[in-house]
Amino acid sequence: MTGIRFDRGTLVVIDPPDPARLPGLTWDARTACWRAPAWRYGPLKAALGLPGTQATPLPFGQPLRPYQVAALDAWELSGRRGVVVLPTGSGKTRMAMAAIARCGGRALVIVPTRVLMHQWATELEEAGLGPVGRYGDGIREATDVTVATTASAWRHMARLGRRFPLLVLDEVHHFGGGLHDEVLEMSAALWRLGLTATPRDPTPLHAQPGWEALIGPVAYQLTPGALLDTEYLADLELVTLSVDLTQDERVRWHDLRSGFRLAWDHWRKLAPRSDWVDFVGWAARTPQGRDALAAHREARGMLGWCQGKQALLRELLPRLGGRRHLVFTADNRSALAVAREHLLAPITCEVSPRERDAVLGRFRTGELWGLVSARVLNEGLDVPDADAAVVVGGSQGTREYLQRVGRILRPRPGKQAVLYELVARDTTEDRAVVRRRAALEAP
Amino acid sequence: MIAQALITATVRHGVVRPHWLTARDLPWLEALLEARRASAGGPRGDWDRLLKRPVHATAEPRRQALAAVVLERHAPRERPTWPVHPREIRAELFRRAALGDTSRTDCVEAAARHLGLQPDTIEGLLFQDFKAQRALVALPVDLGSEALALACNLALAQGLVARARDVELTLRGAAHRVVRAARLRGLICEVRQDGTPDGAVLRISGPLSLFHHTRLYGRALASLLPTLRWCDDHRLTARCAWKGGEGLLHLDPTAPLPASPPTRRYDSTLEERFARDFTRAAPDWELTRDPAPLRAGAGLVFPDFGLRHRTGLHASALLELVGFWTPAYLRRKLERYRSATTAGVILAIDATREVSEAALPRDARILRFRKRVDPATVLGLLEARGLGVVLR
Repeated sequence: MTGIRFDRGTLVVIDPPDPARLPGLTWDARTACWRAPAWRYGPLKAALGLPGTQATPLPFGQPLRPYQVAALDAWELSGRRGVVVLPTGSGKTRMAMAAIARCGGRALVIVPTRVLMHQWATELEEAGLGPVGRYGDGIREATDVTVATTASAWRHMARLGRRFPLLVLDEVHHFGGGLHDEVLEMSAALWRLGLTATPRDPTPLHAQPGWEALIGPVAYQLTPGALLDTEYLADLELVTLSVDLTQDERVRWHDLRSGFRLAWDHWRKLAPRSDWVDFVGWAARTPQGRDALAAHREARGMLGWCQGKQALLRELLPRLGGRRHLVFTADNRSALAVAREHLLAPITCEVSPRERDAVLGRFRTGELWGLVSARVLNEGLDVPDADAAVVVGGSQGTREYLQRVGRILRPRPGKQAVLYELVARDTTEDRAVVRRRAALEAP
Repeated sequence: MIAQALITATVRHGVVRPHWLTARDLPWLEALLEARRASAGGPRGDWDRLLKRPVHATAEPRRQALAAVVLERHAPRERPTWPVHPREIRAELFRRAALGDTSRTDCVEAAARHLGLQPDTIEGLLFQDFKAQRALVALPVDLGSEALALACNLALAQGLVARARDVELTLRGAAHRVVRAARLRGLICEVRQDGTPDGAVLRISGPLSLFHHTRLYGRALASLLPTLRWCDDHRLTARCAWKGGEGLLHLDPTAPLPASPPTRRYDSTLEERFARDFTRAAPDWELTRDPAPLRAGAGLVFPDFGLRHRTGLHASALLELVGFWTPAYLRRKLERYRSATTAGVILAIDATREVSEAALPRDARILRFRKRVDPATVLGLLEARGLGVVLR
């Protein structure tokens, strides 16, 4: 009798009637069976005429905003497959939880970090979708609704891949062209929902063969610009504060920059259509390339924490007294320097989940007024309402910027959010500001 | 597994040659050990900064970085102690700072008073639980440069094998142990004879490897390396992804790798539990772990246990615990046993893999198990008339 069995991230089709005509089926001489990657489950079922997957929707008690309803409907109309793009702070998690309820309450949620794993699990439980299992951070518990870090999911998909009809991929822009895409291949989930505030550029994500087959198309997209003047996001004021490099810093920066440009320009001549990732791969293979990368890192670190910015921060932070604020730096070293000098609680990857939750709790109740972070607060983490953000430095470009802005856009009656950007004048940071603004204000 | 940046190897004519650490590296390894011992107790960040420069004139940066990573694997895990945990210091200090209207110095002094510490101590301990500021633990005194060189070589070899699409092994003696170790790690192991009396050729990969090059099984493949020394002789060929292409890595007993750990008697708790339960339940039967592999056509079969009645009242039998299976796979396995032996065979299959009874081969003695193989069921089959597959 014809049947499909899940085997460690693949499907074994037993006695297939016409193997050559079935999608993705390959003869595996090693084990004498017909095999396909697990993501082919839907097409194979359909081709074999096996019954489809049914799910009884669960009630979902939390109200949805009109654009969340629209996003959910658009995703359902795409066959419960595809990516939903919503700005940070606009309620992607709630929309996804509604999707989980609609799909019968069995789902695997995949998140990039341990911090997000715990946060999702808490929110799912609060929404009545528990008990929630966790895979990651030393925990291995699978229940009908399970949250896993991408790294853990990759390692354990051989077991987890058969269990869930719905795959929710938070911060889906991390997928595409990487090692962990195999998570998507090894899952037999028929329904897939990708969430992001910042979809990747068309390359390499959409250039990745089979990307749409693995997740689905962009089903719904809303930019921050579309929500900025609505009740769903707070009013935002953008303030750019420029500082000069000292003479020594400028000389050093020019030296580092020239060293880097030499390698970069050479590479661009060799491969004009390549991107940054290709360059890094190429540069890492030679001592000169590695020196160029080191120069780039040092130059960026110097701009992110130059003396002018340090002095300006001493002026600016006391003026923010009484407003809940977040300080974003380029790296952990400068985040800890800010924390030490200004006595702001740091949220870095070294802060334990327990301490981080305690700090965020105190920030929420107003016991703390300021937090400083390099990357942990960038994305996903549910940061309590803040009124102001100070971007001292960054390393991840426009996507990081949009995520950071989103941290202060949660609406509240009468709220006027302010974003201060500290920029080193006459450096690459000038152009970066223009690019980031354009991305933020795009309709 | 170590990062690719730490692997030093050359690819020439499609062959990957690891840059093994040899006797020539011992002086700088010695210098590294000395520097590391001198840094014990200091902040890790200082040690990391020190490592940015060569510790010895002959130390090549990437090899030094590899040795530093391997070195830390030898450092014992110790829980640091502080008069007050830095987490509590931060909580108190930042809480006071948020009250406002006081200078930084006043905040630090007030927090110090509250915690019963000196202000300087507070400043020193503030982030001391973070990795860069944590104190370096002392290395074991018996760790020498030669052992470190061998450990680095193992890390190098494992790093390369971890990037392999599949691995081919030619083994002499104790091949069944490697086969079992591979299967235990969820790998697919194809076995054939190599024409010698006790030799076998194994091709090891994973289910997803059928479709494309994957690193999913890299960790499992790399973990097999130490098991190769259980065999009398071994040759490994791995197809490794390396620097945008592919190259073949060859390893044999001449590779400068450390001696293997002692073999474990049982590879899984399932086997161990069955052996214990059966020995207790059936004193008239002698249970042999790992009977010799049997030739079956061009391949070999590896039963897990041999079962022999002490007085010869019942026929001897072989038992294999089967993890992966389909009806076709079981049929093929039975055919191989038929061609290989005149003993009876019992296949124990995992009942959690749902296939109907009708789909199973009819002429086989098959028992299903969930988590535990019941010795009474095995005994029932052994003592039943006309045991197992009637062979030849």
